[in-house]
Amino acid sequence: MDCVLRATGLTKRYHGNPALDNLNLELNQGRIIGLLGPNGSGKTTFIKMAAGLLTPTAGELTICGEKIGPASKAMVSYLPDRTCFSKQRKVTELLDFFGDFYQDFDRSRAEQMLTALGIDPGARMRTLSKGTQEKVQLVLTMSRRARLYLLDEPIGGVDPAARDYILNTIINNYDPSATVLISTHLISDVERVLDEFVFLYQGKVIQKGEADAVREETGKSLDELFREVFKCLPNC
Amino acid sequence: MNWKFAGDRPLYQQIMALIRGAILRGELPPGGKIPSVRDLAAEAQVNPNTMQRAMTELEREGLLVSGGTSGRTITEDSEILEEMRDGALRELAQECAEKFMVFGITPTQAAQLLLNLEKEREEM
Amino acid sequence: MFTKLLKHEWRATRGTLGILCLVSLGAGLLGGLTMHYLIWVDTAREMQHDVIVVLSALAMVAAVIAVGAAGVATLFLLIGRFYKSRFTDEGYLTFTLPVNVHQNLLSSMVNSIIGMIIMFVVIFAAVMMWLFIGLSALEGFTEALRDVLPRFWESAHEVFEEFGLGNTALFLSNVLISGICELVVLMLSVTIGSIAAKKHKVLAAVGVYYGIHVAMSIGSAILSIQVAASDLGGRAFFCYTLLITAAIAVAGYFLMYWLMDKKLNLN
Repeated sequence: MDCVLRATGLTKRYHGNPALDNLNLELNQGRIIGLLGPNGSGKTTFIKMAAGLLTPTAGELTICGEKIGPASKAMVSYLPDRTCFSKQRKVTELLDFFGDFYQDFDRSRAEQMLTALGIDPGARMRTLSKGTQEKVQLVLTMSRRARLYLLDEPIGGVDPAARDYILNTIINNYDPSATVLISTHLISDVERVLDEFVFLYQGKVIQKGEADAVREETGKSLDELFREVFKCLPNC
Repeated sequence: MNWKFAGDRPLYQQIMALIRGAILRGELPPGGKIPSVRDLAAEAQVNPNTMQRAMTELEREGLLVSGGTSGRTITEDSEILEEMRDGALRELAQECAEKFMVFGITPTQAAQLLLNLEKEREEM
Repeated sequence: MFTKLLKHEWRATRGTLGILCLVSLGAGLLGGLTMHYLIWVDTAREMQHDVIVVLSALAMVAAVIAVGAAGVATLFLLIGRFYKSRFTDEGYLTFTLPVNVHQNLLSSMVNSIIGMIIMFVVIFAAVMMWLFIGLSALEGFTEALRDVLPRFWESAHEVFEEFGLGNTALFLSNVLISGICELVVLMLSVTIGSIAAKKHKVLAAVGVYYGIHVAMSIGSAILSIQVAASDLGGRAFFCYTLLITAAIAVAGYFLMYWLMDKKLNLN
């Protein structure tokens, strides 16, 4: 299995406090991985760094062997935890935009998904509800045939039906040549979909493994394991 | 199919149990085709790798037969089906016995309870 | 990639830019018409309606303000676009595009330069229209025009020949480079404010902007004194100004590049 992401000694410091602390992590191809941890553990920082929005204070991060830059960005599809599209734009304009810049963008797939959701491509973003805007963003992100998908808290603050839709989209979109990294603190909702998990605490990886192996060996769900592991840590 | 999972046992094993159950109930008839891993994973809302693992295991057991590119079918080998049925029933009986044991009821007493239940049902 | 970025920058700003151009031209027209009326009223003394005269005067003042405002608004539009698309939530989209920092910066700069040139031309046309319509109220305007224009061209030619091609080129380059430098300074202020400042980003941006301009003013004052003190003369002065302005623009650009490349912290 190819290594899709490799972080060595990755550190990010903001005024003394490290958001990421000498973090080492390898993600392999064709896996759906959960980046799990409480708020402030460094999940979003790590994902933003992989997306190219933050620069590390120390350490290295490579995506499919490439340093973070235009080459890595072409392979990474990033879904942020907030809507980032200009509200003036129409949905079709966003489809044009993605098609222009990303060679791996599958426009027909995106249009299919939008139709299935009942979203009018001619609508301006500002006329859509917040939930619908988020769905548009999800559709665009998942319609790319990327090597690495970075989903930052995709189901936080979302109703159960929408959550099901998001998880189904992730499953339906699965490709053995791609990797999906989902950061969340809502573990029980997501653990059915995960191959592997990574527990993050204060910018460090404190535990990782395969989801089913945990269930087999300990008879616990990931959610239960998480509570157990994080119960005894300070600031949790 | 009702894909309900508990979080504390390996998902792939639970999937296998659910599929065995469906075959026993006749929902998935012997010789019948099974949807692709992708479709099943989407239906069950689980990771395709997990579904793949379950399918591979069932194939190894002989319960599923790989048809190459045309997908998987359920075996028509009656011996394997019998074996699976027996195995599933044994497991169920074991579970029941353990549950009754919690209340201090022996298997013989449990059998009597079940017979009484059946009589009541017939009288209704 | 660069052309695509430029295309999208243009699409984002062309709407409002178009409106500002129309406002300028409209203001030019209004100014011209009111000027025409006021001059006509002034010469044809019988027909004086005070109220209309006052209104016309006010309208002309409004037109002046409108033209000025359109020019300033263009700058706000272009720099605002840079800020919004890079340093707000939209930045999450912009900075994850598969483009390098040079393409990122230059697409914004080129779009802004194009926008500024267009506005400049439109304002020039508006003022010309204003003068033409306004002054046509004067008696003998058309004859004077027929008389003056060819002579104006002739003397312009003479002045130009005397001034020399080199000096003209120098002068125009100075104007161009000053414009680009001003743009870079604006963009740099916004960049420093957004990246380097923890709180009060706007205040920091304004502070940096004024700081740079004060430094530039002091610099050019010193330069002027030096040149006046020596024998070098006007030409050398323009050369020095050109070089220094260009150097500031280039330094500013690379400072922006470094900040975006190595110090980006989008939140």
